[in-house]
Amino acid sequence: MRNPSIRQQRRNKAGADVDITSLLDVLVILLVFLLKSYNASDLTLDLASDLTLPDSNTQMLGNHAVIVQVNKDSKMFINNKEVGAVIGNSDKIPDLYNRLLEIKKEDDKLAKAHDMKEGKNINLVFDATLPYATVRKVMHTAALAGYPQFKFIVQANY
Amino acid sequence: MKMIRRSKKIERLNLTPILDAIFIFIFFLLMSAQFIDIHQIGSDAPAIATISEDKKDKEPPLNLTLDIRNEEILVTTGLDNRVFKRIRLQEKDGKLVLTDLIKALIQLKTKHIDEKSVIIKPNQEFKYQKLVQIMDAVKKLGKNQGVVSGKNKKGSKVETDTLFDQIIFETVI
Repeated sequence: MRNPSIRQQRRNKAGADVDITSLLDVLVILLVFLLKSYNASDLTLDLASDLTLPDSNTQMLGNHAVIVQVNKDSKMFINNKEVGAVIGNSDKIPDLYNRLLEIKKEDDKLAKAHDMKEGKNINLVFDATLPYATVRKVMHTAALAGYPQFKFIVQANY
Repeated sequence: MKMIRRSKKIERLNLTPILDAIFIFIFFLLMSAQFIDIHQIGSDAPAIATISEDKKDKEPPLNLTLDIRNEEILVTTGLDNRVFKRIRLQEKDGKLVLTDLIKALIQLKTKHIDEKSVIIKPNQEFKYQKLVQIMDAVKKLGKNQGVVSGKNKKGSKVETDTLFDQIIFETVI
């Protein structure tokens, strides 16, 4: 059999080129979409189940801090770990208080070691349907545990 | 005459490095993407401070309080909690109509342009979603609501679209 000439070999190589125009189009669209939805906030939130955030037109970005979530069944989660439920008539919720105190101690130790201010902020994530009585109990307990600066996490609706 | 055919070589851009960069960028953005647009509303627990006589203001404090009940909001001012306005709560399309409240707050802000705090005292049964709507209305004027102008303590004219952005919940502690 005759070997293909050099010209033929070159032609074959040129034919093997992959057209990446469509791929580039997709990538650019993806890039624009991701850039548009990019949020400069350092707060990452995994929403607990059965929790709908209230809508708000605030534009303040969230910051990293302890996250307390309360879903529509009044179950509480601290940093995504369940710690019981908001029940009873007492203003102070013992389970929440004890766990927050532990976290506060650890945070204060870290802050001291790194020569930083102690954290007083707490991110509060409540289901939109909860009554103020539940919100108040959680705020009261958080303030007692050393977190008096509440940040209510909401969903932007603009 | 013999025609000389020159093979036309199409110049192609080498897109490999830019594709590499875009891929890395997309991975970074995908990892940091939050598909819910999360924001925050700040509020402080009430604090008690002792103020010495010489540091006291000559003017009495505004002490603006919103007493939120199931069917109305009482806007009170002063240390004796005088009722400034009584606003009936109405809903439209599942949202509170807060035009009257905003008007009352603009009136107060015009007179006390330096004042930033508002005390909120909601009813125990009041729903959190509605409370957030009230907090939104109290903090800042909307894009189409213009600005508030007034004279500050130094006598100079101030224009702002912020109403009372320091929200304090009265019944927390």
